[in-house]
Amino acid sequence: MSLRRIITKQLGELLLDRGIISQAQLDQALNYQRVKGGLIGEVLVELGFAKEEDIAQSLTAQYGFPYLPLSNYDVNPEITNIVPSRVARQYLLVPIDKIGNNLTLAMSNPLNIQAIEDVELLSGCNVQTFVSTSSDIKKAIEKYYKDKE
Amino acid sequence: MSKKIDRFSLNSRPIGQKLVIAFQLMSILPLLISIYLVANYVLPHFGFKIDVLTIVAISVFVALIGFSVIKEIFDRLISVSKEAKMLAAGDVSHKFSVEQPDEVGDLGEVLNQLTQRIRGNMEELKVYSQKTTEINIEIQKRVVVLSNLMQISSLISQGSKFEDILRMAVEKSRSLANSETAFLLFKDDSKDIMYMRVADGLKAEHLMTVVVGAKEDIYNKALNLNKLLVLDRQNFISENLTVAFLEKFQLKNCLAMPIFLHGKVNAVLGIGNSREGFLYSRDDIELLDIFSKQIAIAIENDLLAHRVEKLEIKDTLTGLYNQSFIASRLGEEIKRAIIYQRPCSLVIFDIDKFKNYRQKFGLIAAESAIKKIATLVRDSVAEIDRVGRTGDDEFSIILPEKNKRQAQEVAEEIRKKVEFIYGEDADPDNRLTFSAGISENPLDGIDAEQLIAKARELLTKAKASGSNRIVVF
Repeated sequence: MSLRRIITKQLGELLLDRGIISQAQLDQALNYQRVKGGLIGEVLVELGFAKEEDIAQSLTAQYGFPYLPLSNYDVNPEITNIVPSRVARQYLLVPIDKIGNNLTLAMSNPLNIQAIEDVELLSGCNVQTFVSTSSDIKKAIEKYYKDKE
Repeated sequence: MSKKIDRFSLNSRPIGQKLVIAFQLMSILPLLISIYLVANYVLPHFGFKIDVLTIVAISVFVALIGFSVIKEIFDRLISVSKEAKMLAAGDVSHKFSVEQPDEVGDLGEVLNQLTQRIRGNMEELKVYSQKTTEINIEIQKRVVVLSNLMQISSLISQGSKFEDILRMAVEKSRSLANSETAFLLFKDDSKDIMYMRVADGLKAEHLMTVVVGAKEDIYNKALNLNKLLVLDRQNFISENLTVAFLEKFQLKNCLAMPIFLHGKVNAVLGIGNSREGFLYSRDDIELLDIFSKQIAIAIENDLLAHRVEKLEIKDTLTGLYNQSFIASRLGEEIKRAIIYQRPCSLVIFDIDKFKNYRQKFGLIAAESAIKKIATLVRDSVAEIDRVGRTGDDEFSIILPEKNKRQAQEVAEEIRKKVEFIYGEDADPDNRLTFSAGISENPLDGIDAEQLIAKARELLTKAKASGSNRIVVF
């Protein structure tokens, strides 16, 4: 619980600091989240205060995660087998490449350390993360996991 | 002295003797004296000379005639008195002889009338006593029925098994209207049928096979109604239906009472027999109604008990959550985790070789050990985590927001604590340790069932590989 609050606050503050959203918009989004639930990033997008790309680029700029426009990227379907569909869907991530013992993930929220740990646990690989927009990852999941679970 | 006097007393003598004495005193002696005086002193004056003996004979003869008249009266009195004695002794069939229309005859007549009246009264009494016997039998029957009802309600209040209560109620209903058979049909709303729950008496085996479907006329026009069904010499439903019903239940007469729950027919209590020309009484119907109400109470009670059971969320021994709460809460936590893209973990652990411990130290020591470990576990997790006792010596912990690695840390910490406190006793039998399996959403599944199954599987693995350990993968 506490962990999530820090992250949502961080993401909200991050966007605030970068002038993408206003304090009023953030407050409104937090109120909306309290009533209807959902992740703060998605709420901000839904309310039209920020674009997905803004969020991805802010994360890139702040934490140094590289940004990957997934729509232009072809994934080897065998690599997606490393992460089961239910894990990909729940954490909103897609494995895109594996070189040796290094697995590359595209995630909408690379701050979700627990998700990364889980993928490391089930793949036995070191995980490197790229940031992508939520909708790109959802599209990729629909594409690569269409026939699974 | 007084006895001697008593012997001369006239009081105790029968009337006959008294009569002789009275006759002697009042007629013979004075007569003889008068004759003697008249013969010796009066008649010689007038020149008559009569033989004394002749006079005596005539006098005695006249006196005897008088005596016989009196005696006849007294004899009749005596016989009336004897007959009255017989009457007093209880012989009411005797008839007094009324020979002459005098006072003694009147007395006999009066006694005759008395006898007749007594006879009439006795006959009346006999009729009353018969009626009383009948009433007594009725009362006895009612008492039996009441005591049957008492037995049923005491079973209900004792919280006996539902099946036992139903069986008892059906058995006891059979005592109504001297029925050969009693049965209880239950409605199964999910399948839209009525099935036999309990049957007792003749043909019980056949009755147990009876099922009435919702499309049958018997269901719609006989059983699933808001009123009583009476089938006997005078009461019937439409002819075809009556025949179909009695054939299905193999009966000739039947009384079936619907049992309502929340305004809907929930069951039907019936009694029946195969007697010809039988007729159910008002009493039978009223009593069957009371029995059906008792069963309604039992059903209601059972429903409430089940509802309470469902509402209960805590384990009574440890105060931890129970199995059903943990399962449903885990489901909720998983749903939340999926929405918020978070993990949620489940730890299931089981005390190692606890059967041996219980056998060696007994139930009370075992329960106290379970309580101690329960407290220790509850104190070792965060406020949002949920700890439950999900089996005899099995515990579960829901760890929202924690992935497998974090859950493993928590479980490992508890394992070490338990090992430190209870696992290092000098006596190996006295040591308590546990093994655990850990599953996680989304790694191991996306619902509570999958997570519980996986954690159990890993727990079994942990036990197999030597216990006092935690297996996560």
